[in-house]
Amino acid sequence: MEQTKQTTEQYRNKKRRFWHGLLAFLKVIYPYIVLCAVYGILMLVFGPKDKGSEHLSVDVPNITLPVVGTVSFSIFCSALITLCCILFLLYLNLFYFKRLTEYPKKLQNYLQLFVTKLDDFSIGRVGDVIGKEISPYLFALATYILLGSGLELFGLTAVTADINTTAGLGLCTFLVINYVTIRHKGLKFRAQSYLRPAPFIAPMKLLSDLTVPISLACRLYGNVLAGMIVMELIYSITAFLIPPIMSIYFNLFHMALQSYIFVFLSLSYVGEALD
Amino acid sequence: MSAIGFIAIGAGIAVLSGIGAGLGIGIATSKAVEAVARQPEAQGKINTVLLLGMVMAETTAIYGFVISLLILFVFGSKA
Repeated sequence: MEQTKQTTEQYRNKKRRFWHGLLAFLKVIYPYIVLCAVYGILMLVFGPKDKGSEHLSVDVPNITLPVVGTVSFSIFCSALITLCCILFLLYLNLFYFKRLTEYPKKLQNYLQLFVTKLDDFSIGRVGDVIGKEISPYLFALATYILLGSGLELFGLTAVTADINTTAGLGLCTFLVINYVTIRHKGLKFRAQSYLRPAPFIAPMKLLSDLTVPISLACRLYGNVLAGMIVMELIYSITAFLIPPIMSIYFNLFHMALQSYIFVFLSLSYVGEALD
Repeated sequence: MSAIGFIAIGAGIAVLSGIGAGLGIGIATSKAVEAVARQPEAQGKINTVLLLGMVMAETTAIYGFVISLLILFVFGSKA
């Protein structure tokens, strides 16, 4: 009798733990799901028609995929690398973060510093509730852009040097802006924000809202591609001693700055929409 | 002149947008230096605002760069 009760209790505990685990899992991966989904939609809509981003090579072969159809090779490559990035980050989320301890050591120190700074940063700009809600998205953006641009160090093409990827990221931010505003302030507030100073300014406001994803996308794309071209030029001059030193600036510092700027601008656009 | 020459000139003109961005960033930085010199304790806030302004000013240069790349690679591959 006693034993059956115990096993039932154990079973229930196990079940509860499973659901808690699933919830925590979903909480961790939802920004990546958003990233994946928007990127996939963008690929489906624009991918096959597009001739591909202008990588420096002129002749890119086309390949045929089962669902999407004919896609230019460069888009396929960047999608594949994006997928790898996201899987790597997911792996970190699922297996590294489990091993975190209460008293941080080594890498966890920096990680905690990063997360805390990002939390403070977003809470300071958009307030307590929304700040906590939006900081995972910002973390996902920052890690993704850092990793995607840092791929250049390993001899791959940076994911963010493809305008399709950056357009996907810009669209994500656009969606997040609208979602957060409508969820916390209501649809009426969002609609009325176009008429705020004076009604006749509405078209201008609409235009400036629609240029948000474009400007984010072009900024990131242009900066990363400029860095890449400069590095290529340096490599064409000499491969001895100089490229690694320049690479510290053009691959490491520049990318960190770009990811900071992307996160910063996303946050300030959200804050602007909420005001 | 051949078509590719005109394309190159057009791309060069598009990158002239960098002049404005350079001027803007220069002015913003000089003002920020003055502000920090006058009030060193406000450096954190000034840095944040300066970065935002610099990013906004830089955008025009980046647009010019993207447009020139488009001119070079889209028209250049057709010519």
